[in-house]
Amino acid sequence: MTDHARPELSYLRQRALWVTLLALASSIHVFESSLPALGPWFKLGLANGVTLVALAWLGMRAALLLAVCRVVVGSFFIGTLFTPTFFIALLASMAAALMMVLVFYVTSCGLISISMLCAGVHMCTQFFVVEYFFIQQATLYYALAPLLVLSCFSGWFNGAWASMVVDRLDDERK
Amino acid sequence: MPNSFYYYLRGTWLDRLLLSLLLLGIISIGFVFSQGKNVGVSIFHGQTLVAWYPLPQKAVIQLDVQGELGVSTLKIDGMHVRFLSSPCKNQYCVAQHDQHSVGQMAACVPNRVMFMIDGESSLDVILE
Repeated sequence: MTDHARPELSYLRQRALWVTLLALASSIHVFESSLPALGPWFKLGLANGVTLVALAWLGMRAALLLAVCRVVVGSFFIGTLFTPTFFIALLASMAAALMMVLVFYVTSCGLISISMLCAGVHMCTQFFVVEYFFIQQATLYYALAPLLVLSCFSGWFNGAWASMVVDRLDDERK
Repeated sequence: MPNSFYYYLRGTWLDRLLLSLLLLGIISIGFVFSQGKNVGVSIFHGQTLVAWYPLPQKAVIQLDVQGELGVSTLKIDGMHVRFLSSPCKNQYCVAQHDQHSVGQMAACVPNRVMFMIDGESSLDVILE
């Protein structure tokens, strides 16, 4: 492709879809922060479903980039950029996205299973970051089990709607 | 019907198997951790143990704990412990309900104050 050549339409479509998913994930991130908290460090994690869609539709690089960018953009709008909350969310999101990629490419699990595992990794990473950098009390992990149970169900829900979106996108492509 | 959300929400047998295994594992570990005696509440500022009170308490205790941002106030009433006030922005710690059993905790992360209801865990016996 020369300097003056137009990029291919399929490439532009992929870029447009990625930006749309980023806008959607960031909006969900902001929306979830305005909902009443179900507990400390517990949210439904709907934005992780968007990362799943990006992984299934656009591939590994797009999903990992989306996981980072949506936390940065979302935190910017919430006003928590570079605060402890931001670093907790960023590291947890990256760990969950890496788990997502690993399970997606290595196993034949569906999106619901992947989502449940990611939700668990997300929750464990949050606890690890809070314990290691902020609280420094291993007793914190006592609270992990009930929140992990909730994560399984929220992961299931996110995996279900991500599967539906991916199937609909597949239908559109056909 | 493949297009309905319910169809996707049902998942596959592999999803259900994984969910069952995960729940079984988490609940088993949680159950082992929650068995305890000599119950008390430990109150921390960062890594420092500020105070420990045996539970249940006969009198109501209000305790001020100095944190990074200011003073967090805790209330101990019988077996129940909670944050009454804290100088943090989001007030998640105050919004939490009473904690009353072994393993439960609440933390004000911005103020770096937390409390934890602890007791002897049967996990030690298993590990030994």
